[in-house]
Amino acid sequence: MQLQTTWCWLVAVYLFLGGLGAGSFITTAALYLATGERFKRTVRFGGWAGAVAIGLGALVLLADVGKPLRAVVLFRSFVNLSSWMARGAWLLFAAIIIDGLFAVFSTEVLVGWVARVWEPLATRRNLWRVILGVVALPVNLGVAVYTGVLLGVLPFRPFWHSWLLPALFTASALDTGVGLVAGYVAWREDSAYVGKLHSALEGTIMALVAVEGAVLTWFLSTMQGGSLDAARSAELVTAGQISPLFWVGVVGLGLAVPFLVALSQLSGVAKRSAVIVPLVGAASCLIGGWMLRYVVLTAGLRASLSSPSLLQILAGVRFWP
Amino acid sequence: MGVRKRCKVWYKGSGVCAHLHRLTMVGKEKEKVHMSDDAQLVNRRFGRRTFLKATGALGAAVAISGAGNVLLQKRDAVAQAAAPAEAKLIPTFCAMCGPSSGCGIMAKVVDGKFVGIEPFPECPTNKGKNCPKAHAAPQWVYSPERLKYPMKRVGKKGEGKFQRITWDEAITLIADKLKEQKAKYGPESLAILSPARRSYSDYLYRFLMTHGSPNYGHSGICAMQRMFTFSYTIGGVTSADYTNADLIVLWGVQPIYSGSAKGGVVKLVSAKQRGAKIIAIKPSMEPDAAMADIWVPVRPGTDAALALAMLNVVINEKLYDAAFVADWCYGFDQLKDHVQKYTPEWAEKISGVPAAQIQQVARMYATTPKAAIDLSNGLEHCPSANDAIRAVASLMAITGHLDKPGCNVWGGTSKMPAPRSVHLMERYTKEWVDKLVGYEFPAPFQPFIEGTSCSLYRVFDSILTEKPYPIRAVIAPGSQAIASTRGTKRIIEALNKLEFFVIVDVARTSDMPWADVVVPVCTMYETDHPFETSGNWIMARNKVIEPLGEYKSDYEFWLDLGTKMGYGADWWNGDIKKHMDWRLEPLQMTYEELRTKYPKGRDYGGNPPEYQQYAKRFSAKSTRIDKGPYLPEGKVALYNTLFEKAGFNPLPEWRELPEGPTATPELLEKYPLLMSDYHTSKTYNAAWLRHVPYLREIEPYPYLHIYPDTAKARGINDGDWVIVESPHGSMKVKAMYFPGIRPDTVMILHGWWQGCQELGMPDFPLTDGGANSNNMYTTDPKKMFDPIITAMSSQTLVQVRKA
Amino acid sequence: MATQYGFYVEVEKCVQCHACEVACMAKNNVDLGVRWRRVSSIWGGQFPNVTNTSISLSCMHCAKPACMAVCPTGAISKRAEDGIVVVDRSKCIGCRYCFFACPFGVPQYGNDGTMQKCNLCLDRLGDGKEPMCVTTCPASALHAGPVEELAKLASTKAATRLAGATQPSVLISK
Repeated sequence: MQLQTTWCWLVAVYLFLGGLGAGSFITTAALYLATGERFKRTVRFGGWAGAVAIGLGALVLLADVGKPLRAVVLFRSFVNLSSWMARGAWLLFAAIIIDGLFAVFSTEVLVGWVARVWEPLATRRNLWRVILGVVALPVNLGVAVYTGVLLGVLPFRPFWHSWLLPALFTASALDTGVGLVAGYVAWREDSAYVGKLHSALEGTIMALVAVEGAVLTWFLSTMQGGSLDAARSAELVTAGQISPLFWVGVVGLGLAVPFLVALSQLSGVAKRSAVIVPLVGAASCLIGGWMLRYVVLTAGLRASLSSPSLLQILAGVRFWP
Repeated sequence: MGVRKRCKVWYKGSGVCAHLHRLTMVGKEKEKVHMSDDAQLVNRRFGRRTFLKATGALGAAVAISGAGNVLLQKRDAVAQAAAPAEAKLIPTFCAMCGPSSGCGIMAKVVDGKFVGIEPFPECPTNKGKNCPKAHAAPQWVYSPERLKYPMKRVGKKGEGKFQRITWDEAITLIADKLKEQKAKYGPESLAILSPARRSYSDYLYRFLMTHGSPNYGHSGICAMQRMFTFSYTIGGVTSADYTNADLIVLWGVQPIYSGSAKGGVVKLVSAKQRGAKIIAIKPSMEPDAAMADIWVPVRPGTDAALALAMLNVVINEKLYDAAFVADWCYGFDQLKDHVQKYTPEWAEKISGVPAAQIQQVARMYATTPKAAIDLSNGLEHCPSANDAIRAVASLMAITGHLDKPGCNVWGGTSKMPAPRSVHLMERYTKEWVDKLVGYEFPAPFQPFIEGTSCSLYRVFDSILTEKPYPIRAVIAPGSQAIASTRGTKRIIEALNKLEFFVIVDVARTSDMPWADVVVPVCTMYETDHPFETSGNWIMARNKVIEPLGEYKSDYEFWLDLGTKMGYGADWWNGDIKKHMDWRLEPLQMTYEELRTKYPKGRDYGGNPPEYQQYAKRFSAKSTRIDKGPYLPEGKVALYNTLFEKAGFNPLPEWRELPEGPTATPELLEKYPLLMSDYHTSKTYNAAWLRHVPYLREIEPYPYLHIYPDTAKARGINDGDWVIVESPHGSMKVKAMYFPGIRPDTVMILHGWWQGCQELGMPDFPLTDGGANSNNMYTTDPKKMFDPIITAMSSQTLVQVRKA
Repeated sequence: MATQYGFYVEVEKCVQCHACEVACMAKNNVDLGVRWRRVSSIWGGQFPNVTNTSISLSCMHCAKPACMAVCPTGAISKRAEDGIVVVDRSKCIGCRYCFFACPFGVPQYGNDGTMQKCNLCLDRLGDGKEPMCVTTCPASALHAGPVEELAKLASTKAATRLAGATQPSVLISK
């Protein structure tokens, strides 16, 4: 069976980075709003993670489109706001700016430069960060949800056409976001309260993995029980050509390993000082997150149409080579 | 050159400039943007482009190496379109099937470049319709594979190293060599290979005649095979009257791909729309069989068994036209006794067609008054070809389906005075026939309607065996033996041994590396002669563009060569204008008058067809030396006394294939599947046109048509590359699941050798491991030929496995 | 909208000769690897009771084009005078979202990365000529024009308009 290859691994990277950036920034903004200056390093890291991941995602997207130098002129190229691609572009744009500003304000060196531009920017940076953080939450959430809605609104790709897809991508975005931040915390955060943060984050990971697992199960079973085409795609994922990637990558690396790593951290099985363990967990979580996007994209086959003969007509069109 | 200039050249010459331009291009793309043809060796996935590929077309797989860059330099990048310039429309003829009665086109020319075609409804050949090849013509004309100047070999035979020479040098070289060989070995040491029937074919015969050689190498696998058999059975060649038939039997014919725009499609589709019943007898369900009411999936090469069994049914069930048989058939009683052993049950074992279906089809044909059989090339490639066609002709005759509306008819005559033929048939003598190096048809029956023929295969045979004498020089116009005739390895062996080999063609061929002299000639878009006729209509050809290199037309080549050889008296001393006027003398106008007075051709009209003219039809005079009639009894030769006298069977019989399920069952364990090949295809002509990108995209690979279950049993998926092995050779081709084929049979298009530069597709190996079906068949002379008409077998047993 | 132009394919006349495909490629100088019109072969049954039909399809010029709705740049538009769906390649950014929205897989992308597809030979229509595919089809199996007129032409056969939420402007007979 032919897999979907028009939007390939590069687009999977873009969707993943968008989700990762959004998730890590949401985590960071929530952390900042809750704990303020207590976890300076993590907040700085998270801010940059958000901006850079989303920014990198945007670059990857540009690398994939046919006319990147045209696409980059947003106000010309993303004008049809009833298209989710256009909405998403603006959301990305907003997120990069907001996340980026937040990150600037969280970085001492840069705050110094900002001060030279306009003093109040620097002195009131905590206030700005609070405002930015609050504003950033819906915007970044929007980015995370958008990566799923982009695919979900397409009626003729039955495997994608469900609200469960953006739900899944959002869960994954948060999961990978928290995973990334948790990895950093284990590695670099030097606050006195790092232990509590670490536990909180690892606990959150376990919860999010559970949620994501539930949504994934719900999503696949809905597809399996849905139309013939949806079931065909679901079959590809769980038992067909893509299934090794799914089971090893998405379920294994993306869900099982992070869950077990988080458990090991919380239960004290792994020594706190063994930084490698949470780092491996984070890396695994990220790889799994990318795999999820890739698997979903690759299984997104076009719907066959009503009459059986027409089905064959259009399914049988060979794209050469 | 200085650094700055060097950088500029690199910048422009590599893809960088073009690429950046494309990235930032705005505003002009609504117009046709002519992307430069170079650098299109790109990954075809959507959106994935490999940037900065250098102007790769020349760097791509070029089979012929060598000093003097034999192939055309890519033309400068086509101008980015601003406003489209004015297009000129020139009425002329498509040339994609080679110079032969071509379909009319209005060639579109912009700034001296041939860019496309528009319909030319006034041409009765195709009435404004065109097939895919016609539209792809500009790509063929401007292909990097075009030959641009004459060349002579400088390396070893087979190396493909050439040096450029002028047209005059080429003519002189060839003439000198032929004169030398004529003196040393006699003129019959020259053979000319036959292209497919071309409007210059008679010029080849004329040259041979003026030179003194009878050795015209007709292919031995097409057209003449069935025309000969029909002539000697029913006195001539008929056509199936699609327009009036209630039942049409398509037997080994491909009415859709063989000149789809020329009316075959219209006839078939109209008949079907009108409610005529269609029966298709062929091993695989091509689109014509798909339109049929009944598909008779006969094993390739076993049509004789089928036809003989049908005779059995018709005769035994007394479904024949007794009156016609009594009045106009000779040998009915002998035929009747003879076919008793050919029962439908017997035929089922050999042909794979169920006995019940054989009976059904025989009865349908015999009992439908307006029934026609369209029989063609599918029956011309096996040891029983002559038998099969004889049997079918006999079937047409005894069921009273000759020369009646809706049946097989001779048709009306034209009111157009025939232009002069250049053939010198009146000069044939018996000694001439005796000089032949081989016989496509037995000596007593030569010359046939085109002239004496030694058959193409026997030309090469003689080079190797030197019996009865070796051919020393071969001229191959529009012909490539390696890709088109049996036993590729033997052909290559012969080419390595052949003293002098001249190729006259428009683009690179598979034989070219062995040529001593290569003479390019015009495509028919680059010349303004000859005229074209179609039924009762004639028109002067108009030149579309100037020749792209240093060459002239085929016709000018033969006039020049003939004159250089000293035969100028027979060759108008090289004056092509005088020659064309000479040809049109019976029409009482000069060629230019034809062009100017009748810019869209002149229709002379035709006489309505006369039917049941049996006395006339069956007394037709042959072209043999004795000029006797084809049918000595003046009746249909159910029992053929002429064949009998020449030592052949007077009645058609079944002759086994060299390898086949019933012929060699002991081979079935190792080679369980029967393999044959297709002669025609959607977008190609024989072994030609694989290098034309738009055509190559339609059928990009050599596909082996295989029944899905047969493939699955071998673990082969649709699209897998597979190895096909016969007792004689092997191929590596792509499997295509094909539900419409016998499960015990596989088929592939013949003639695969060439790649396509623009698409980055390399040539295939010419012998084992390539895609050349000619490697697969036997070259055992005792098994491969039809004894009378030289038809060469294209069936064998194979095994197929995943590569 | 004044009228809706579309195609009518007489499937039983299609002989799979591919003239329409190549005529379209050649007339529009279509990039290699892209086919605006495609002939597809449809098999049914098992040996020896096998069926095969073919159909030639290009853009459906839908009444409700899914491609237009999702195009972020607004490069795809539907002409008011004849309902032909056209893409402005100078605006297209090559994101390929239209490919995913189209139920028929019509959008394709050329060497310049932008989307290209059948435009019902707008330039020929302007001169009162039929699209190239229609003109060249040896079997006269293709027709183009206002859908109401095509429906009249097709009324003698069991022709149906292709079904779909996007309302394709294509009739086929069988």
